[in-house]
Amino acid sequence: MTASSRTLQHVGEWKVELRAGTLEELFAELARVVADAAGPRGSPPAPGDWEHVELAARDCTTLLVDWANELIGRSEIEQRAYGSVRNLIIESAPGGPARLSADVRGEPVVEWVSPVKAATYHGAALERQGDWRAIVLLDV
Amino acid sequence: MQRDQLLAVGDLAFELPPSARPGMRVPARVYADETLLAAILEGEAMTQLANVATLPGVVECVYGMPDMHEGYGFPVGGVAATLLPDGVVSPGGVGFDINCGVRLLALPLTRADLGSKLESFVHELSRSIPSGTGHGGQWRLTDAELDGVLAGGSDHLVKAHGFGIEADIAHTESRGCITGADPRKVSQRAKDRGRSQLGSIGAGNHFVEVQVVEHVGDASTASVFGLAANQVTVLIHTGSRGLGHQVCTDYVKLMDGRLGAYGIQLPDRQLSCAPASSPEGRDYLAAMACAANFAWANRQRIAHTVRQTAVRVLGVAGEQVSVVYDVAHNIAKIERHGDRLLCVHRKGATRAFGPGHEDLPDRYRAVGQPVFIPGSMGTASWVLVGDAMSETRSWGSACHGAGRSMSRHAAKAQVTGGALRRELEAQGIVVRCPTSAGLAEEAPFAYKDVERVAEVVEGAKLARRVARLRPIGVIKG
Repeated sequence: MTASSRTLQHVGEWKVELRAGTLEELFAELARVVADAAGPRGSPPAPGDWEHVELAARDCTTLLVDWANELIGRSEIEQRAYGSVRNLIIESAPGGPARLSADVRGEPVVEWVSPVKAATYHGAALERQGDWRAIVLLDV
Repeated sequence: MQRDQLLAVGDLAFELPPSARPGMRVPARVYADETLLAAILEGEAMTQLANVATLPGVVECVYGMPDMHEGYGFPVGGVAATLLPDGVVSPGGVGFDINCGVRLLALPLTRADLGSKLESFVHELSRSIPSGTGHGGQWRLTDAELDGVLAGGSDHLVKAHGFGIEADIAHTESRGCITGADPRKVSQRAKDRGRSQLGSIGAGNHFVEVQVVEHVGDASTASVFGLAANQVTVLIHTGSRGLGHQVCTDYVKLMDGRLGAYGIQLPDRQLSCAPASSPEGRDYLAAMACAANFAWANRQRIAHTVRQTAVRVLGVAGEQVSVVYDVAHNIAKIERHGDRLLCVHRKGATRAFGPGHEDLPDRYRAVGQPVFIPGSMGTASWVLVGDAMSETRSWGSACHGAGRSMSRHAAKAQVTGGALRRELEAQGIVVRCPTSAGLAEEAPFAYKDVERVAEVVEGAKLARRVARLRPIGVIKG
């Protein structure tokens, strides 16, 4: 399936539902959502170098939130939107520890739009019912 | 949560007893009238306040302010105190924007004095104060400069760099510096996120607003605050920017991983916490103090720019631009209440100490602490004064704003930024905003009625209304 996302109702913050056929596609979709929220990039694109990311967490849901926070923090420091992901590998045992390895690439943002501060553990969910589905609440 | 689960406990107070659900250690009380209560019960805010009542070491009661709405972990507008030394501290109980807060400046001008210079004043402020996501300050701090700010707050900024005057410090909560700040407890990523952001507003609901004192209800107290009818004021709303966001991210994750070690079970992982006396608790408090100090320095730097701009554009003397007060509304403070030493979490809630409190500046000790309730861009903001009863009603706290009633997504669906700009300008409000979408997210209709909120705050004996401020210029983050 094509990875997708939609906004769910939340008065104060930004609640996002993600769907994808594989876990890797789901994580890549979250990267795209966070990057698109940052604002439009230049045309033609001016991507930077690929940067390597490695993360470990106590479970895959935690890893998903930590992944968003990694990209949000990196984005603010480098002033780039990290929507491009390659070589994404996720190792996880059901309900157990999870690890991620990936290369990410940022593009300069022409006009910053999003005030995304962080991803939260509040109501974070990740499940597989055929396809993968996740919910992440972002502080904006 | 349903209305019939709450008990009325006096005027404008409703309580969920600890027997209402497993794990609650104390009651959860919200201050509201029936209209505000109905809005509060529409979301998850009351459930979240009940979750807060499960925190280890929580004492007496957790409180919801009249502007409470759902957040994550703590509700926005939630207040909880834990008994030290072993009660917990929760980074989620402070929030990502550590020491988000407001500072009110009084200018030596009336609206008539300002006259046609309003547009150029707002324009010059917008040119001088960076706003919006991705727009940092004009100063990239070295490691040594940043550590100085983290340890010393706005006090350091005035004394070491000359960005302000001693009176600014005297009229800032905690004199703009929490002791115990340790820059070594702040991650390199957090420092790098904030390094170039000092003196900037940021985005979201942050703003700098030029206002006029539209109504004075308590002339005596207003006079002590240095406010009079028709006077021009400037309200600054911002916090610790990316530095504070990363401190919260770092310590939520750290404590989330240590819950088992302390035998703590929580209904919401975003409430992750550790005993304040534990290594994790002590480290967080030291890092949070750094972020809080950075936020006070940020508002101090912006206030200095406002002062310089007022001198340049309006021809006033710099020392005549005075800080009325600066107060935090996302913070955990170590406070003595009666004979107990407590860690008081205020998440989207402001301190509101009454007359006589030793922590108040000399000028305000006889009347109480200035409390600010900003409305929205198109409505009023209120200046109140802390009520003596707030100590026993809410750990000396009041609400921090009108409170959102509509999501940003829904607000953008109802109005465009351009249309809202025209509407505000038709009301005589000069608007500067980096993005139209950002403007629409903060549309006045997305917030509760600030008049009702302020009235309930007074009726609940948290703070008394002093003066109402009407916006005439908005620089939106």
